[in-house]
Amino acid sequence: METVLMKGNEALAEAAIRAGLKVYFGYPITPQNEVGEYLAKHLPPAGGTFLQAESEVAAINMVYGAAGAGVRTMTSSSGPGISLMQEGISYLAAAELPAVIVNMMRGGPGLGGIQPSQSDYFQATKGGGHGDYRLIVLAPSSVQELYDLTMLAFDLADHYRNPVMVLGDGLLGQMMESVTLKPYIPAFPLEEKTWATRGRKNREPNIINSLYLDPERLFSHNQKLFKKYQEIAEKEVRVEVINEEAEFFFVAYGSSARISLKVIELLKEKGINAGLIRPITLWPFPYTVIAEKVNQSKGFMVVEMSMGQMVEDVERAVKGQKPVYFYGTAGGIVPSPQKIFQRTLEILEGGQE
Amino acid sequence: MAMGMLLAHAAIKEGFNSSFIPSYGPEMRGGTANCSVVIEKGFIASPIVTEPDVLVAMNSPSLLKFKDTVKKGGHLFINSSLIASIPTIKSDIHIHKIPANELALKIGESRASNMVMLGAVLAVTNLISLETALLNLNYIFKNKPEVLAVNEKALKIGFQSLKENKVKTAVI
Repeated sequence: METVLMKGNEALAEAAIRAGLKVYFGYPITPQNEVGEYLAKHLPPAGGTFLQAESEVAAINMVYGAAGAGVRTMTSSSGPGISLMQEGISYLAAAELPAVIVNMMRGGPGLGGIQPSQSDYFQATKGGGHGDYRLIVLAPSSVQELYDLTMLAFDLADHYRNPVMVLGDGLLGQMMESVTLKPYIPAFPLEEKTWATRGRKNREPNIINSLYLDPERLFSHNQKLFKKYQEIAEKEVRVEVINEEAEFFFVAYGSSARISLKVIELLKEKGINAGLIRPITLWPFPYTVIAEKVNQSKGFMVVEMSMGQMVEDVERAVKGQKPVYFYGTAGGIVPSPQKIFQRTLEILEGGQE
Repeated sequence: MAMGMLLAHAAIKEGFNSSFIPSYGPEMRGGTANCSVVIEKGFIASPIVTEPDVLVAMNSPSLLKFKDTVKKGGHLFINSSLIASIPTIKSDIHIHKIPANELALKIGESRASNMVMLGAVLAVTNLISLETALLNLNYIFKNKPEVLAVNEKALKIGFQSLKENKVKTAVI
């Protein structure tokens, strides 16, 4: 297996090709343009199709069509573009279509900026589009994980017939890091998509639809979806805990988790035993893993590149039993490990509540 | 950028983990650009560099922006060809003034000043060996094989400028 220096966006695109991506639709936006650039060059020789749509709205509906035809499909964008796609994402979830959607987050709201951010957490994990639905949301924190989780995203999407979002940020997309180009090994046995609409032949027609005018039928469709979400929540929580025996825990995902690791090193020099709980799936969220640390931890410090979004889920897990602190920067500012370190010291040594 | 990318790529070839973060914001659309590189034996905790061990300033605005961030005992490399007046710099770091553009002109390619600078950095820090850097130049110039030779010369002349002529190295 080759280990190479690769840009996050390109590692993600390479992983998608290896995982059998057949059709990609997208519309350019910084900071994820290298995804499209890479796929435009490398997807056609691998037997796939790259298509630049006329807009993000068009791209997500093309994804709907391709997913309905039963092929592996993906789109990628950043904040403003992902907002435009929300209607389509809701339709994908309703029609139970497998697709991979990549969001390399940038500062918002509105057009915002092009620097890294994590302020689309609510949009990704709590809906974004209309109606009761869930996306599986994967949060890589290194270029290697961008590669690994993109492959997993296709498998989860197919296995559960659900759209999966890879939630990165501008920093992960733009940075280059060592990555080992592992061969693709499916996480689940690849099943035939008997539900896909690709020519009826001699069977009953397959219908892909999200319209149920009869409230009873729509309710039972909702119940069916939530039974699936329940199963995903039970089976697919992924989380990394660093330093299990810590007396104080950071909770952070993506780039913020990397920065928190640096803070933990700085605290160790001061004799403070801190650890990290790093959600890899943001939905389903690792509530239980955090709850299990409530007794041993003096508190929890949530670090995000936002004004505070995941912190609400950490509070739900901690249930007020221990203090939950928050350190966040927004607008494209990456938090400084030294500043978080200072803030944490103030809290721990000042006995501040 | 090319300097950082080469360093990060070559470090992997020497068995390290490395990361490279370019500026991709307004700087890339006019102004001075910068990049950060981390080289570690094990897993890289944070790829964000706030207190560098080594800082290379190719021009004045970059020097002014980052000069105070260098870690105590660290190294600051100044391109003295483009930075005429050097501001006050903290006294607990090593300062190296390299006339990178002049040295590059000597080998006939002023645009190779970055590789001259990288050569000088390697002479002092041994982050990676000069040989590895030379062997991996084609990673940066894969689409321009015709400039490989001059960049090899640039790396070597930069390396020698500090290896053989310690007079230019002012340790404050």
